[in-house]
Amino acid sequence: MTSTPSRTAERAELIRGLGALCERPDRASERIADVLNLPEPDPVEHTDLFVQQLPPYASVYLDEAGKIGGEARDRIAGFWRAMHLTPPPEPDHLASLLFLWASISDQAVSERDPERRSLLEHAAMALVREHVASWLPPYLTRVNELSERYRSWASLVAAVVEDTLVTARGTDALPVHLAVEPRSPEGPIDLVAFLLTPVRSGMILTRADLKRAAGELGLAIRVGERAFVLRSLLEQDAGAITEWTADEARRQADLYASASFAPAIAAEWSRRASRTRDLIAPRSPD
Amino acid sequence: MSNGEANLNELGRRVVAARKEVEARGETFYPGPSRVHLASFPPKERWDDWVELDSRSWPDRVEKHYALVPTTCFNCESACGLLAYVDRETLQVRKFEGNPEHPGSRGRNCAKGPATINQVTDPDRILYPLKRAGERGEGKWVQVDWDVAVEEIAGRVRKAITDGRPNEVMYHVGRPGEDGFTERVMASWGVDGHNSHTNVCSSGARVGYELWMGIDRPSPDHANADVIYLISAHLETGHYFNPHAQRITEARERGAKLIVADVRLSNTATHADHWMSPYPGSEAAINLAIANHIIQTGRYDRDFVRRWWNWDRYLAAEHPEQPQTFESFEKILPDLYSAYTFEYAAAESGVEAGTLRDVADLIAGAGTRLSTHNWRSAAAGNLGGWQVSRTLFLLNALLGAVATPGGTHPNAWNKFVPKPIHSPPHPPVWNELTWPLEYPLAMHELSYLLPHFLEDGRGKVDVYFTRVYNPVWTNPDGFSWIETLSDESKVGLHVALTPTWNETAYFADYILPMGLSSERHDIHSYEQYDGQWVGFRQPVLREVRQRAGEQVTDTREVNPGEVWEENEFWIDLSWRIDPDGSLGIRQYHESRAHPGEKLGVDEYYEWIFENSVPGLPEAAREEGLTPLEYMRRYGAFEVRRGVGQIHEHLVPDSELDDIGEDPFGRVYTKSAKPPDPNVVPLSSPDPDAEGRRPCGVRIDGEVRRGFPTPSGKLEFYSSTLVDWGWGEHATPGYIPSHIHPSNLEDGQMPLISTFRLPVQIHTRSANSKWLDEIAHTNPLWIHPVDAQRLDVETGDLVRVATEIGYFVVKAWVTEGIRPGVVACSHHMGRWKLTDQGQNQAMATVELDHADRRWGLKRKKGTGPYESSDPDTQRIWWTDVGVHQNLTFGVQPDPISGQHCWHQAVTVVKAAPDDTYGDIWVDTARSREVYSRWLALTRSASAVSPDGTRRPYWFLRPLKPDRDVYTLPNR
Repeated sequence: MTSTPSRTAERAELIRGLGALCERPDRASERIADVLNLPEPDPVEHTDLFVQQLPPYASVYLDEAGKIGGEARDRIAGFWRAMHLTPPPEPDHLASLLFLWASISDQAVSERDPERRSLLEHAAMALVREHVASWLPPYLTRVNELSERYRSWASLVAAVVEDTLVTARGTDALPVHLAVEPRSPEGPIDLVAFLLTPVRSGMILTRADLKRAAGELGLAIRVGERAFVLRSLLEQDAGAITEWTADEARRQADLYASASFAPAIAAEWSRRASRTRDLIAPRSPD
Repeated sequence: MSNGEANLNELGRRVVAARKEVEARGETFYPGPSRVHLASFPPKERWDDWVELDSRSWPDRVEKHYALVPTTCFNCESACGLLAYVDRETLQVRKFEGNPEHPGSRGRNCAKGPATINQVTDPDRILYPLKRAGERGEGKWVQVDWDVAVEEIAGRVRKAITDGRPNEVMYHVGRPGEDGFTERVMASWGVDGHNSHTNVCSSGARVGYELWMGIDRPSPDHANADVIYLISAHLETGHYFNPHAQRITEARERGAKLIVADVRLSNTATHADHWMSPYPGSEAAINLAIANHIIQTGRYDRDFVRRWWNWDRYLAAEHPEQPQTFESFEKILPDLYSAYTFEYAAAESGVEAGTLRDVADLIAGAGTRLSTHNWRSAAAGNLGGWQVSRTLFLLNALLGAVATPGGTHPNAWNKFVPKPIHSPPHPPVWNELTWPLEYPLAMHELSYLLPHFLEDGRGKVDVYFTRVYNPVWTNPDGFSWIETLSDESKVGLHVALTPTWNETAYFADYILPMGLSSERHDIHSYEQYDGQWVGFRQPVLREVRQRAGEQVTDTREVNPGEVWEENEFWIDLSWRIDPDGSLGIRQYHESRAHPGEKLGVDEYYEWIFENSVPGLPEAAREEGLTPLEYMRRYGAFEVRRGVGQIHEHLVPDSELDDIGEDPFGRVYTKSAKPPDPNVVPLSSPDPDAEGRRPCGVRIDGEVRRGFPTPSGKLEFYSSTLVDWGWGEHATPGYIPSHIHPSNLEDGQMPLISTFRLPVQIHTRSANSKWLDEIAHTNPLWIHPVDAQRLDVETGDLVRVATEIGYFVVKAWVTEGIRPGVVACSHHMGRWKLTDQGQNQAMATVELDHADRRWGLKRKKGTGPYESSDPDTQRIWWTDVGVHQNLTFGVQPDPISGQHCWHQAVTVVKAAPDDTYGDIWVDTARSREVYSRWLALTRSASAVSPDGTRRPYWFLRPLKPDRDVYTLPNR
């Protein structure tokens, strides 16, 4: 068998380096960005992107509650345990996942027993498919939109993931996180939770998005968590904000449909966003 | 930008190259918080100038610049790595945190590590040499110069040596410092004066392990075990607490099962999948029932037993009529322990037979991933306690879980003691005050019997060093120690080397202030996983100043007050004992580079790190450092990882020169032992009749390294015990304890006194405010059933009567103790006679003494007080516990010599005039207890098979010359 890219030590180091870049900027990330010809990390932009807008935790995008933790994180922690590793405090943080991927790849590279090496490669692929590629299409698409500085980083991460996934094309089953049809909103109260839970709505509504909505609709933006902000916008003009959201769902569906990697998974996100548009559009005054 | 595969590969290569380049400079490529390694540590390349915001200046953002200097913790024996944060402006240590470069502790510490700062800044600590001014124990002192003190001590030692009284010089150690350092100092003086505390500590457990392996400590690979079986409370309060606890926790997160046998619901037991609360002393019966189950169900590792047990010697000795084959042994084996049914063990232990069966099945299913550990606890509590560790290791030996991943390893294989710069010869004398004829099989000195031996008239001690040791408080029968230390005809000059005040120091002639964790040098290595590492303790301010270009030649220049480190002290003392070198002592304390000059600590460690630690010079060179600079910078070095089964190593042909072989396959060789920079203590089995040294054992036709036992195999059958008069214990067995129900009188119950409080450390943490705040008292654990019978509630005073006296303590009614048993931690009850001493965890007491009857009454507890440390104003507790050990007579196990701590006591409600903390003891009764236990022994004079005092192959901390092993008058 010829060596696939993910089976080289160099690729593992690249994956690790990309993981380090979504950590808080420091000397190491400056160094890595320099080596990779990426813009120098900026603490303010980093905080805005990874803390305020798009926290890089898989569970935020994959869990039914749309928050850090929950069943999605347990599932990912279970993967660490299955690899005989103690899950770190944040097993689903993108940096943790990329470090884990790199670590398994390193083990595979140094493993001499073909059977064990094959098992490790299989594990690396399972990690990428199930817990990394399952949420990165919408996530990286939105990073690309929201941060010019981190756009090329997102592009590199997408390229590395895609370069690995292409070796396993033909696997049609969706990742377990996306296997279950999402619950539709159950009444007006659940609507807010539905819209803010990516795995249910298929869309990612960031703080910046809500601010944009308020600006475009001439509504007042109140300071608080996203659910509070969205509720207050709905209270001000339910019709307008619902219509805006339906449009946003369609826009994100289109974006994901044209994502440059993991096409099957991206398509599922696009389908979910379209479904959201269909679910809420009739509720608009039009 | 194109992100095609070629581009990705090129980018990957660039990251690899950048990482190599950065790491070659000794820097960390991925520093900062790591989500993978659980912790966040300052990257090592910034240790010279680490910036943190000053918390006291909040909300202003004021930067504080620190130099981070590694050292190791001095509180328990684990020697976990610490990083001292030295303020670059004031050159003061501001705090201690974990050293991520330390392979044992991996940057994680228990509460005792960071609390080192309390000890360093302790407003009550001893900072200057003090000389007694009044009577011993009167509390009058004058500050003296070091020169005066050392000169007088040296003169006295010199006179003892030149007068032919070498056995009157004795060094009594509590917390060990550097492996072998003071043993070598004693050897250089030609005295057999080393006296360790081990017989009140771990000696019992060591005998069990030594008999099996020729190595007296276990190294359980908890992190990789599937089943962990602890007879003790190791996870939370035991030996190697932090390094083991973190690995046990990792194993449990992986799904490993934890079994804890502990009479109390300890913190460890609360984490257990199976907590067994056996009647104390029945642990060996439980182990044998588990062993019997493994044997009867055929789940032992047949091939391992065949290859590595000395079953052949057992058959030859016990069943010579049988065919001398493994099959014969296998036919006999099921009968050996068939009496140890679960029902029998249940009757002895009070643990239900069904539970024992569940535990046995779990253990049997662990295969080679069974890690076990016993230390102190039952082995230190009971008559015959050494059989607890011996029967525990039997389970590993049955399953082949010996030096396997997840199994139990011999500690010497997971430890690295680098060869020192000088190695003096074995001293040509034998000290019967520490190694009396009655205890030929004791693993360690009969240290706690010293008062009785002196009263017997067996000798005297002219110069007695207590070194970070407090026998008055720690040992049983403390009032006998006070009587002895007060009597100058028994102890001529008592020198207390201690960083802190303690009960023993009050009865000293000199108190010499020794350094704490960040104020002294030591090299350490401990068995904490299957690897070998070397840790380096250092005076951190010395290092900071040297980094700044200053030359520091004496640690007193940088330590607080005139606190000295021990290495420099011992070298200086040795020079003063032998100023012109005529006694042959000085040569072992001279520079190699400049013969005739005094050895300095830099040269001492330089030599070791350059010559005796494989891989260190290369690692240092890669960073452009000398080996010593590397150790001063990182504080630790991992020599090997994954040592594994050394007994399976094939002995190379180069070692098999003119070999001899006994009928059981023990192989001896004429070739010299290859040099080894690791001088970790190992047993030394005898050579054959032609003087060949044992080098291996033939297994299935091949010569393998084996174990350092007489047979070269694991000794299921101990010919040593048979030869030395204890044939009834030739194989692992069960000895009913002295507190077995059949040995108790009506109304008596066992008292368990061997457990620690997790955050305290014997006598030295008394002024650690942070630790004292967490734990500062030791109530009597008592089950509700017993409390109801005695009509006591939590907080009521009870009187606990032992054979020699009583103590008055508060009751704590809890279901966390087995009914019919009471327990009281030995970690509390510190006291002082005057206001002189430590004020945070010591009560001020009054001693009442008439003839041999002693009373101790508490005058006041602790409370807030003004000092240089504002924390002392925040002491909110008054209770500091009760000193129960004073009321215990000495109870030496006749084989191991271990003090059997468990006591048979009566517990009653306190009398109306009893007050909290009262102690009453009659030391005449202590003598009776001593005599009764001494009568259990079988003296070497009567049982020695070869005219020697002790089996030469046994480990001994300081081994004298072989000639003096011969019994007197032979």
